Amino acid sequence: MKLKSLERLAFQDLAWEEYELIILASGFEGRSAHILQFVPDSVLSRVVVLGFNENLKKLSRTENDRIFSGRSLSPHVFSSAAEYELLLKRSLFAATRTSRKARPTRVLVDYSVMTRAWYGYMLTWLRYSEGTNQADADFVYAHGDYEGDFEPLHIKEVLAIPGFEGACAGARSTAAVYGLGFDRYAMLALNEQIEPDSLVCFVAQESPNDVRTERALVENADIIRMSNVAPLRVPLSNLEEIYRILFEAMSTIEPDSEIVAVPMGPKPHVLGTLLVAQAIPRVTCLHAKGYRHEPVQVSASGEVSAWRLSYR
Amino acid sequence: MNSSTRDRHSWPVEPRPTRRVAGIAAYQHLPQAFATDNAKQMALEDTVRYFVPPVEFEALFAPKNHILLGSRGSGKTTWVRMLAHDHVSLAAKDLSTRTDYARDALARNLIGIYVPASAAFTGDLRNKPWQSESESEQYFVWRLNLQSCSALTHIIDTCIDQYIAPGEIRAQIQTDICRALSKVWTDGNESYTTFDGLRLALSNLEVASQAALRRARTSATAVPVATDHFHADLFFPLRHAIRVMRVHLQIPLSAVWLLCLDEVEYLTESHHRILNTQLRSASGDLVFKIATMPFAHHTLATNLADPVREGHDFEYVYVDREPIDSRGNQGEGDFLRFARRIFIQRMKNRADGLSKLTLSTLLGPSPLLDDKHWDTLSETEAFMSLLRKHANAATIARAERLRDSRKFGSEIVRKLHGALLLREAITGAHGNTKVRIYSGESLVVRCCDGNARRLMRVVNSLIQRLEFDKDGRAILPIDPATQNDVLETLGRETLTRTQSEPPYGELTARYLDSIGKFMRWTFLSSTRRLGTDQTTSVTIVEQDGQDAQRFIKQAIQLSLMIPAKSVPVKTPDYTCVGEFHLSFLFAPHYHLLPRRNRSARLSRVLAHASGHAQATSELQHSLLDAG
Repeated sequence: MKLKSLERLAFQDLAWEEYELIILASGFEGRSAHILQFVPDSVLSRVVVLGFNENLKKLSRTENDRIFSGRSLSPHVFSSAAEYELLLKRSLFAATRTSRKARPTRVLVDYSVMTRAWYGYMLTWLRYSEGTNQADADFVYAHGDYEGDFEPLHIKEVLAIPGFEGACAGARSTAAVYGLGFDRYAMLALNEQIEPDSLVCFVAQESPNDVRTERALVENADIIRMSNVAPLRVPLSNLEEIYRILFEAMSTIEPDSEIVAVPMGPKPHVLGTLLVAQAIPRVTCLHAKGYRHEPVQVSASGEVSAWRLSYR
Repeated sequence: MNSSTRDRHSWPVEPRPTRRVAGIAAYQHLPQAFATDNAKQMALEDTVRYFVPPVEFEALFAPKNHILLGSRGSGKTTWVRMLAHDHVSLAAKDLSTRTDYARDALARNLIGIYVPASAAFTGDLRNKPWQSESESEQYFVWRLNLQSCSALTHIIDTCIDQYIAPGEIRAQIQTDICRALSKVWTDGNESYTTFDGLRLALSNLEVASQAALRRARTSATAVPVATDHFHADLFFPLRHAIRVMRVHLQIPLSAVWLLCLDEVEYLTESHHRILNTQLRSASGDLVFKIATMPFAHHTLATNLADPVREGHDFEYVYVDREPIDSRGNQGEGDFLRFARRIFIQRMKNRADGLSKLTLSTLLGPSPLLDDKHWDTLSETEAFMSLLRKHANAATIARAERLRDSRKFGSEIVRKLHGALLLREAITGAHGNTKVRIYSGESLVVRCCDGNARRLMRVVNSLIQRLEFDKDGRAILPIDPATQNDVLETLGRETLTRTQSEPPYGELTARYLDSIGKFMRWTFLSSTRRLGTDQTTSVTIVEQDGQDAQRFIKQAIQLSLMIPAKSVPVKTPDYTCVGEFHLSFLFAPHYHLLPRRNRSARLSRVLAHASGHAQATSELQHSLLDAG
């Protein structure tokens, strides 16, 4: 299947009964259980909760697990990629079997705190699985308030996100596309490893006077200086616009270059980058795997974005 | 533009005249002259034009296996790229003696193929934990087969230029080669007549293979993996393609193909074992030039019974340049000569009209490093005055004793004048006073630690800070305070960024900071007075443990610690012990003298750091208790 359309949904109007599968996640961020409160009891049997196997006692993790447990849900904690892929694959195939033939299989994914490998696998399944020929994946995102500053990310290794490896054999140059967050030094360290020939940066800008935009620009002044073009301003909650801007930026890069995309900013930008990579085969999405000693608390701001990804 | 120069030249002791050279028009290209600091980012023409071949480079044209070891930014990529036939062919057209090596290589039928291993390439090899070891190895072989054939397509053009027979039609030869290769590469399904077409064929194969893998990952049942021409023994497709070229171009059988693999440090141990197997069993017509970091030739093992042996199956070549000797004597060192040559090369090619501008004119003399004469009575008295202020009693007594002998210059002044000037400058700086001591050509070059990329970055940063007078002419040399600021910032930022470097960046940054602070304490502490030796290095012994090994190996790879010449930097299982120098890059940040001198045990340095941390913590607690 291919991505056919992106459609904004009103979160408060979601028809929960229509989902064959609802995938949530429990982590240390306070917003982990935010979407759960809207999930009616009647569909709890269709909910799968993915759980991080690290930082099990930090910040709100215990409380989040307790909230999920209060709704008779327990997070699946994985020790390997093979385990979560198997669970997701089984759940997704089961969803296609239970869906009514007349309409697409419907899945809701709360990716607010998920690791990109998890929702990356779901996107790969939607794009390449032969289990169904029509599916709607509703990706919901609980916007957050960051209650502190990140310490620099200590990178352990840099890997392609599975399923998002680009075709690079014919290329003799590398074009990098960086989604800038607030981690100046991790971005610089990544750039040292990627050593791109050309560079395009983008930052989140939700409104004309978005203070987070200014901060991202200041934090990443060195990287921006290395790029010969001004950083793109990309909205945070409009996935269709994120996709349009990033697709345009990547599809116009000279054809001899491989494209290395590293989204280090907010999750909707990561999702948008992954979707573009599915459409442009020479895009590789890289992920810096690392750790921070003290995670930062992110509580739900109350705003929720919901977008329907229709695959046919 | 700021034309103010009122506080210039208050340091060093003797004032320097401010020079103004060339009009503003001549400077319009200057900011771009050093903007590119990485060979990977350069166009082929620029790589060839700016390349200053070191002596060891020409040895790579020998028909044998080499493993190039160099820290980040040392120039490995430039070296292996410059071996590629398209680069050699272009270099050969420049008839200066600088490129004699290129004409010689062409005459000897040495044909280089440059194979980059980009982050996308390596990131794809290590992100499939579900693969078995055998599947993972097969995938690597498949990808490298594809990658090496793709690399070959970039040199067919210059090979045709070199080997086309008189009377043959060039376009026909190209068409024949492309058709022959595309047919075999696509199992007879496609026929292309251009190099772009060949690369498109490879790209299509790659996309199809990736889609098949993704379908297998998301399928409910096991899916058999389709195979293509590149699912073969490693380099079989490349060897076949070489044979096709040989036949069409009548390349002599004596020709040797140099397969240049770049950045293999990002590959795994099992990948290196596969490459080693090729080194062990390589035939004479295909040899390997493999670029990696120190300690990042991950293993000597092969898939055969015997491991590869240095001196027998391959030789290591060290790319890093030792900037100065172990006691700090640089003078006209290799790297300073290299810096001057590359500056002139870039000026000539990028900023026409400034060809008379030299690095020395741009940066001026160094108050800290350049030789000082203490011939007159007043100069000697000024020196002794500083000595009495900062040196310990034994040194002062020795200086007094030797004052009227020749040894005064060699054993006292030479060893101490930089240290005294530095200590005076640092301890005398108060409030908003700008430190200007870290400036001048020899010091700036020394703070680059023999690292070509660091040199480009520093010179670029300095050029961006160039000031102009009201007539639009550059004020030279660049303000020493500006030079000091650029160098200090570079050291500080490098240290902070190191925290994020994979895989042990946090540990490495912490140890570097401990070492820098320890050295600053030994040099600048008000409770300590100077002798003729300063601590500028650390000694690591086996008992220092695993963290010390992780630290020193990564710091050497990033060119943040420099091993003494006696320390080998080969395979990773080697326990790295001996003497290591803190990079001069950090000298301005920690206010250290950029000289090589005495070393301290790493364990002592770390104990000092933890003791200092504990003392600070206790002080804070006692203040809180008192409050």
